[in-house]
Amino acid sequence: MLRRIKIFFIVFLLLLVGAILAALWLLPGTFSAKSTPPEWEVKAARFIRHLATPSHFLKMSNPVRFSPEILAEARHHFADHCATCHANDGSGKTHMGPNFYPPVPDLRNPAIQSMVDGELFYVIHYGIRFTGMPAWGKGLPQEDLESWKLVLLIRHFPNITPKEIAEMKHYNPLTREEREQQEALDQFLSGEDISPPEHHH
Amino acid sequence: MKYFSMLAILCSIFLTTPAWAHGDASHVMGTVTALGNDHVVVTTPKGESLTLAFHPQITFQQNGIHVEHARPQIGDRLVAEVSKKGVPENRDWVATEIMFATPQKKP
Repeated sequence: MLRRIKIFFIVFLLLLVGAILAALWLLPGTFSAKSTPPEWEVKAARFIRHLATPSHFLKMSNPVRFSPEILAEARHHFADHCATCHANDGSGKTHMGPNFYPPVPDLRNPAIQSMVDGELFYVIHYGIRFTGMPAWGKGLPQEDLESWKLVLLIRHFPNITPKEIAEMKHYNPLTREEREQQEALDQFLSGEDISPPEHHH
Repeated sequence: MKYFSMLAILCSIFLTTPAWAHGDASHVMGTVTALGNDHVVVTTPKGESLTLAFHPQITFQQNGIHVEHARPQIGDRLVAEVSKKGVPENRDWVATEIMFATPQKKP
C-alpha cells in the first residue's frame, strides 16, 4: 500500500514538474495580440460564446420596429461610439480593428449575420471578455433599446449605401483637423480639384 | 499683414506635396492611369506619375465602403495610405490602404 502511494506521489510530482516546464516554455508571447487566431480557435470561441448566451436571449426578437428614422439614429450612434473599431461600414477595417486579438469581425459576414437578434443584442449589451468588445449596456437589458437599434443597423450593413456612409462621417469622433482632412479627401475623390491638406497624426 | 497671411495660405495650398505624413505612413492622391495585379499607377494633382505597389494586407474602399474584390479603374480618383517600407524595385511606394471613387466631375 505504502509502495503504491509512493509511486503515485512520484508520478504526480513528475507531472507537476512537466506541467510547470511546459507552461514556462509555452507562456512567453501567449498574451501578445500581435497574431491572428487560427480558424479552429475562432470557431471554438464562437461556439463557447453561443453556449454562454442565456437561452432566453437566443429566443428574443427585436422589440424595435424598423423605420428610416430609427436606422438613421442607429447610424449616428454607431458612427460616434462603435466606428472607431468597427468602421462606419461595419467591416472592422480601421487602424485598430485588425490589431485586436481576435481581430474586429466584419459585421457583414455570414458568421455574424447568422447570429440571432438576441445573441447580437447580448454581445452589445454585455460585451465579450478577453476581447476588445466592451459592455455597452447600462441598466437592465429590457430598458436598453439603443442596443436593439444597433442590432437593426447590423442587419442593414450588407446593404449600406455610400450616401449613408458619407452621412455617418459627420458623427465620427474626429478633431477639427481630422475632419477637415477627411472632407478634403472626400472632395478630391468626388472629382473636385484640391491640394492635400497638412496632416498630423 | 493681411496680404502676408493670404499669401502664406495660398502658398500652403498650392505648394503642398501630394504625399503627406500620417504617423510612419503618408498619403498619396491622384488619378489612376494604369493598374496591374500588384500595383497601380497614378498621376498626382502636380502631374507627377507614381507607382504604388500593393501591400499583401492592403484594403480597398470604394465610395467609403470596404470592398473585397472591386479595384480602382483607369480614370478613378484615388487616395492611398502609403509607406516607404519594403518598396519593390520600379515602385515608388507601398500602399496599405486605397480609397477610390469614380469622380462625378471630370478633372
